[in-house]
Amino acid sequence: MTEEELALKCKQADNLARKELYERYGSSLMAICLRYIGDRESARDVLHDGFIRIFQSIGLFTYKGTGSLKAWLSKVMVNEALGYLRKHVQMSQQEVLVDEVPDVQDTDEGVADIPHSVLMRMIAELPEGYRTVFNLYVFEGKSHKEIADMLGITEHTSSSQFYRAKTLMIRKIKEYRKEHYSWK
Amino acid sequence: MEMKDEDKWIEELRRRMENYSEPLPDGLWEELAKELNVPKVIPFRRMWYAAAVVLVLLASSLAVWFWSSPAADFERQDMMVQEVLSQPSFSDGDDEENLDMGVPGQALAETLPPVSGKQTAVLSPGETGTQPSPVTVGEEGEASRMSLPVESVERTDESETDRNEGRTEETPRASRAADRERMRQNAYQLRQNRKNGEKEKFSVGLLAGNTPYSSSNTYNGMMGFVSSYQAGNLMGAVNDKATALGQNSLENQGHESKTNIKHHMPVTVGASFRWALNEDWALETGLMYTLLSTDWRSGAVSYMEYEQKLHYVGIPLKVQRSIWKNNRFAFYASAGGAVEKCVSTKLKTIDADRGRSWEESLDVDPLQWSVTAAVGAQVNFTPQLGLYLEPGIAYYFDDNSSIETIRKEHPLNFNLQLGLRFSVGR
Repeated sequence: MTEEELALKCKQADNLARKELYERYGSSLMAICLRYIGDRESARDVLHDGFIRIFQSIGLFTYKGTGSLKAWLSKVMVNEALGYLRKHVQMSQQEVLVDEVPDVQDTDEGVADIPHSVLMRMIAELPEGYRTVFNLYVFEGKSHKEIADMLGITEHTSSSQFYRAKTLMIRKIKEYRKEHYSWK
Repeated sequence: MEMKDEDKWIEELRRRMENYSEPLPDGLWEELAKELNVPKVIPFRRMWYAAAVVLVLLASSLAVWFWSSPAADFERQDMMVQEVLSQPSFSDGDDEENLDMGVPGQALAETLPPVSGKQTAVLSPGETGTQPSPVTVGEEGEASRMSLPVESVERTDESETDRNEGRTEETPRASRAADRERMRQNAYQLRQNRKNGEKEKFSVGLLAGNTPYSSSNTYNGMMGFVSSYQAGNLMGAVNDKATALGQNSLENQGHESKTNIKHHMPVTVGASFRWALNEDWALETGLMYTLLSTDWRSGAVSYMEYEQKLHYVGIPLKVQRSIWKNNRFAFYASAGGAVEKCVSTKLKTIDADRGRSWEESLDVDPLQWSVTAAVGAQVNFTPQLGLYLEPGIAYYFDDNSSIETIRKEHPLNFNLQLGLRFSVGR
């Protein structure tokens, strides 16, 4: 079944197609949920609600070539996750942990040598507000202006939270390297 | 330079995580399939929705209808009590304020409200004073019985005044105790009469539930609904036994004694917390405070008035079943119970004739248990906080105390509860 056929059958409320869609894209959508939500239990709830929404609104999806279904599904799921965070987390009340921010940022070494699951864990461990901004900036390619509008925070808050999130990530990556690749 | 590094770092992270996936949660598809596979349930749900709306509206209007008919009576009676209280004392010759002395029977007759045809049980002494034709309501026997005391009041105005003037100082205390005893007898009598099949009005209390966090608007808003139930105005003096028991007051010698009981609407304030067990079921508890206020007026010619205020603190426990809901509105049914403890009491006795009053506290030790069933509608402001309207029925178990409250008069009672609710859980 092609992407297009799959979407069409889902629009017709075909149960087999729905199951296929769930199995084909579910695990990468779960990764998105976890990346935004941070804990597996809540991520599961968001994934559940997101899939309900996907099947309810799949009629609105228009096929625009290979990959467009996955892109659409991801967008729905990100929105679901943001909705969840908006309800459960006070974005503006995220405290800024100044002590944790080192002065120097070192982005030279990149992330290529860090396993996916470790990076995922590191993102999940970010403080909630930082994590949301970080996700939107890095993975959704949103500008700080757009993020500010989406989350009801100021542009400055968005950029400073991103800066701190990135700094924390880099520090976590350094620590990981120190621990696992001691020869470096 | 640094900016470039940052962009590169971000791009690398993005690409690295692009195709990353996490294992799917166990059992999620089964859950989804179950929920998705209910296209037939949508009209069914809509039917539930419609039924829920009708149910809530019906129950609300039923409650309001029951509530509104005695409301008018109450207002008149309230007025009467106030005016009687404001009448200057006629028996205390030394009183400087005693300027506008009037004959007591006449004063009562002037201040008492006219009575409409439907008020079979709502008859007040002296009403025939303003109406040339005597009582025209109720069964024949009842009507004539009721008109008796009025006549005697009018006939004995003169002698009553004389007698009162000649009274000694300690008599009010004695008569006060006697009146209280009679009041209890009367209440007992009323209940007995009811059991014997006399016509009974249903009572409606209006409960206002709200939370310490809400503004006082909710509370004040409810005050507009304040009503009371007028429990039969004519009590005692219906048979020889009651007369014998009740007629030990010197002042009222030779007259039929009556007790007017006015139960004010019970007002409940509190915080309500709802804990969702799953999509449909939820547990609810909280802390509630209730004020039960009752005014009594006892006697025939010389009246004693009592203001009884009971303060209860209680904990409800209810199970809620969702009937229909979306993000903003919810309809539900709930059933449960509550236990309340009387934490403070006050009984104020007013000797209106002499402008004196006493205060004392009562002992209400037993816990007040009750069971309730209700349907409700809720508007959510946030997923956690909502305003609800909940018409229902409550049954109050007899706490075996000797204190008369609306809950004793009408153990089974409609109520309409309005308040704020905090929800937690799924």
